Amino acid sequence: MKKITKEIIERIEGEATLELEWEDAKIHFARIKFFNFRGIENILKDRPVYDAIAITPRVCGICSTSHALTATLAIESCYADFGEPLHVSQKAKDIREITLNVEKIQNHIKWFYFSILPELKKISNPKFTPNAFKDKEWFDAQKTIIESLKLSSIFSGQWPHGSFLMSGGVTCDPLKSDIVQAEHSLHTIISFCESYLYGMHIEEFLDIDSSLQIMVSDSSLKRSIEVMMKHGFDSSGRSYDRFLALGESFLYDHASKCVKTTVLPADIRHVAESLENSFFDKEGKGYTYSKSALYKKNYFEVGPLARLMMAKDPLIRDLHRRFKDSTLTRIVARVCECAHLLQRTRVLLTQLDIGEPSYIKPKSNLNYLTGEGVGIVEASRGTLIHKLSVKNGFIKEYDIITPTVWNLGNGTTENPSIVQKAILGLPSIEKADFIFKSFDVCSVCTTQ
Amino acid sequence: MEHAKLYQSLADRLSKLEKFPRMKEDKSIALLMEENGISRRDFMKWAAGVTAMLSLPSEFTPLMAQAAELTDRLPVVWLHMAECTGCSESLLRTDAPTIDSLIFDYISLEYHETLMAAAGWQAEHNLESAIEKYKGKFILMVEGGIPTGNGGNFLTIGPHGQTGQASAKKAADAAAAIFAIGSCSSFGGIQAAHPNPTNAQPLSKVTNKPVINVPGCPPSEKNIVGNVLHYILFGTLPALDAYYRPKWAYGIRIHDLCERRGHFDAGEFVQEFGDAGAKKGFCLYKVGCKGPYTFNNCSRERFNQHTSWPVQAGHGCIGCSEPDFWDNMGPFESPLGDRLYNTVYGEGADKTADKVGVALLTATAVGIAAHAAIAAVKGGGKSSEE
Repeated sequence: MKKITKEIIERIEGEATLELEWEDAKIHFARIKFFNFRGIENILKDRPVYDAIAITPRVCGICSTSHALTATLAIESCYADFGEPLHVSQKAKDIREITLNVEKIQNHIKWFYFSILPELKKISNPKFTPNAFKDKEWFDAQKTIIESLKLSSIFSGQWPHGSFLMSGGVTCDPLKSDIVQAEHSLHTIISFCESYLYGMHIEEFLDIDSSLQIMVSDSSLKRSIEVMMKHGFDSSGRSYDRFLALGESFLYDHASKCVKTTVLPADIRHVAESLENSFFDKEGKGYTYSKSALYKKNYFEVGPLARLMMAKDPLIRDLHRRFKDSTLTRIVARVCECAHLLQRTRVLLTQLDIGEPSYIKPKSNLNYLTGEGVGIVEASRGTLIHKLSVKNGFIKEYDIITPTVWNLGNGTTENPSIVQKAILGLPSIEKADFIFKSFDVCSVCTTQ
Repeated sequence: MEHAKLYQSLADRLSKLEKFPRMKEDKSIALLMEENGISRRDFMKWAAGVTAMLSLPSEFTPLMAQAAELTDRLPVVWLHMAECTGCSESLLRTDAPTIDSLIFDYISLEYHETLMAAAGWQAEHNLESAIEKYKGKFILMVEGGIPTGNGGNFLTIGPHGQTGQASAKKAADAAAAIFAIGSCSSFGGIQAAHPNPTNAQPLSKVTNKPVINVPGCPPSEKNIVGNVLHYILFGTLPALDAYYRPKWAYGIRIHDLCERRGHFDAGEFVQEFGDAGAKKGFCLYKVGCKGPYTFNNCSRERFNQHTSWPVQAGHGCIGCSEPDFWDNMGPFESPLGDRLYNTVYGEGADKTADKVGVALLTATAVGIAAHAAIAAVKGGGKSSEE
C-alpha cells in the first residue's frame, strides 16, 4: 500500500519539508523540499568584484567565514588567470585557517549539543521534554560556543559576518597580546571538550585507533554511541559509501575522492550542477528551490566523514570497517574532526609569526581585472565552491555550490541522492529526521 | 532625585507587570541565574551596563534589574523570513554577558525555529498557540526580509504552506510590539539589493502597525535585548530617528566614537591595506570605511563579548545599519566621497540624502572628502615614505 506524508524538519538554519512515499510501512522514496529563495547569485552580477567578499557571507549566518574565504580565494584565482599569481604571506594563510577552523569547531559543538543530543534523548525516552535550563552541560556548551566565537572575532572583528579578508591577505594585524587572548579562549574550549565531550585529553583521543577505546571513559560521545547502537543507527543511514573533498585541508595532501576505502585524486573540472527537479528546471516538474551537485554524474557525500576518510584517520577507518557509512560513523566523524581542529588550531596559534606582512597588494589595476576564478574551501559541512568570471573589475557571473547541495540532491527513485538513499527503507519519521540531521543540513545555504 | 517623576512612573509600570502571570510557573529568571552561577553582583553590574546603554541615569539600575526579572511576563515570538540566520546566531549564541542570551532563551522559547527543542508539527503548533494564547501581549521579532514577488511564493513556511508574507502579517496583527531585527527585516537587506530578484520588502511594508527597526548585519545582541528591556520599562516606543531606529542605539555615527578617530582628525590615513599606516592603526576612511555615514553603536559596544569589531580588525565599516547599504555604500573598499555624484548604481550618498532630506549628510560627506584630499597632501604622504 502506498501513501504519502508530509513532514517538516526544523532547526536546520531554516526549515525543510520532507515528502515521504511509504510502501509496506517503510519509506519508499523521499522528496526534500526547500521553499525559500533569495537569488544571491543574481544579486552578485555586475557588482565590483570585491563586493563578493562582503555579500557571499550573507548566504549563511553559520558559515559566513567559509563563504568570505571562498570568495577571496576565487578572486585570487582570478588574478592568477589574469597573469598575476598573488603571493599570500604564511601569516595571512594561518590567520585564515585559524578563523575557518574556529568556525568549524563552534559549528560541530553547536550541532552536537543543540541538534544531536536532544534528539537522542528523545529517541531513548519518548516522554523526554528538553529543558535547556536544567542542563548544566547544555549551558556550558553554550558558553564554549560563545568563547569560540570570541576567538574568531579577535581576528575577524566580529562573528558572524566579520570583515577582515581581502584578496592578497587579511586586513587584521594581531598583536602578541591578541594571540595570548586567543590561546586562552582555545584553552577554555579544549577544557570543555575534554571534560564533557571526549572524557579524555584530546591528545589521547586523537591517538585512538579502535572505536572500543572511546567507550573506556564516560563522556557524552560514549553515551550517544550507546543510544545509537541500541536503536539501530549503527546499521541505518547508509548511503553510497562515496566521498569527496575538493578543498585543501591539513588532514590530507590533496583534493580526493574516496569510493569505499580507496582514495583517488579528484579534480574540480568534473563537478557539475544539475537543475533536475528544481523550480529552475525548464520542464516545469520541479518541487524545490534547491539544486543538485554531481561529480562525474554521480552523487558524492561531503563533510567531516568524507574528510576523515581521505585522511585515513585510524579511528574513523575502524568505525567504517565495522559500520560502513552509517549514521553512527557519520556522527562520530564530526565529533572526531572537532578534536583534530582543536589540536591544529593550537599549533597554528603557537607558530603564528606576527612579524610577517598581513597583506600584499596586487600589482594589477583592479579596473582591468578580467578572467575566471574558482575558490574551494572545506567548510563545516563539506566542499564549498565559488566560481566567478570577471570583466574589468566587475562580476559577470557568479556560481555558488554549497556543501548541503552535495548531500541533498534531488534524485529520482532509480537514482536517489545521498540523503534520499540514506533514509530509504526506514520504518519511522523520527528515525528519518535524525538521519537527516546527522548530515548537519543547512537550509539557507542550500537555496541561497 | 532629578528624575523622580520618571522613576516613579516606571516603578508603577513594573509593579503592574509583576501581577501578570509568569510564562513558566516552575522557575523565575532570578532563580535561573542563580542556578547557572551568575551572582547577584554580576547581574547588577550587567543591569548598570544596560541602564547606561539606554541613556538612563545610573539610579535607574535597580529598576533595570527588576525589568530583567520581569521579562518572563512577556513572551517573545521570533519569526524567520528570507535570511541567513546570522541575526539569531549573533543573538542567541555569540554574546555575553550570558545574561543577555539566558534571558532571551528563556522568554523566546515559545517559537524560535533554529533553537527550539520541539520539532516539526509540534513546533508549528507552538507558534500558532503562542499567538493565540498571548494575543495582544507578546513581543514580535522578525528576522529576514519578506519576499513578495511571485505571489510571495519565494518563501513558504509551516504545515499549511503559508507564505512568509501572510505569516508575518498574521503575527504582527496579534503582537503588542513589533521589532524588525537586522537590516533585512528593517530595510529589505541583501535579498532586496539590486535587482531584488524576489521583490523582498521590509517588515514595515507588510503591516500597518508601527515597526521599530533594529538594523545591522547582524545587529549587536545588546541592541536587541536593550529593546526588550526598554519596552518592559516604558511600555511605549522609544525615541526613533528618521528610519525608525531607536535613538539610544542609533543616535550617533560609528565615526563619532571610533577608536581611530584621532588619526582621522590628525589626517593620518591607511592609504592601502597592509601599509605602514595599517600597522599603526590609522584611519580607514580612504580604504572605504563608511563609519562617517553610518549610525550605530558598534564603536562603543563592539561584538562578541566586547572583543572586537570590524574597524578594529583593520577593515572599514561597510555601513550595514543604513537603508539599502548594499547598493549605496559599495564598493566597500573605496571611499564614498570619491563618487558622491556618480556611483555604480546611480544611487550614491547624495541620493540617499535627498530621499530622507538629511541634507547634512551630504555636507558632512563633502567635508570628509575634502579633508581626506587635503590630508593626502599634508599627512598621508609622510606615512607612505616611511
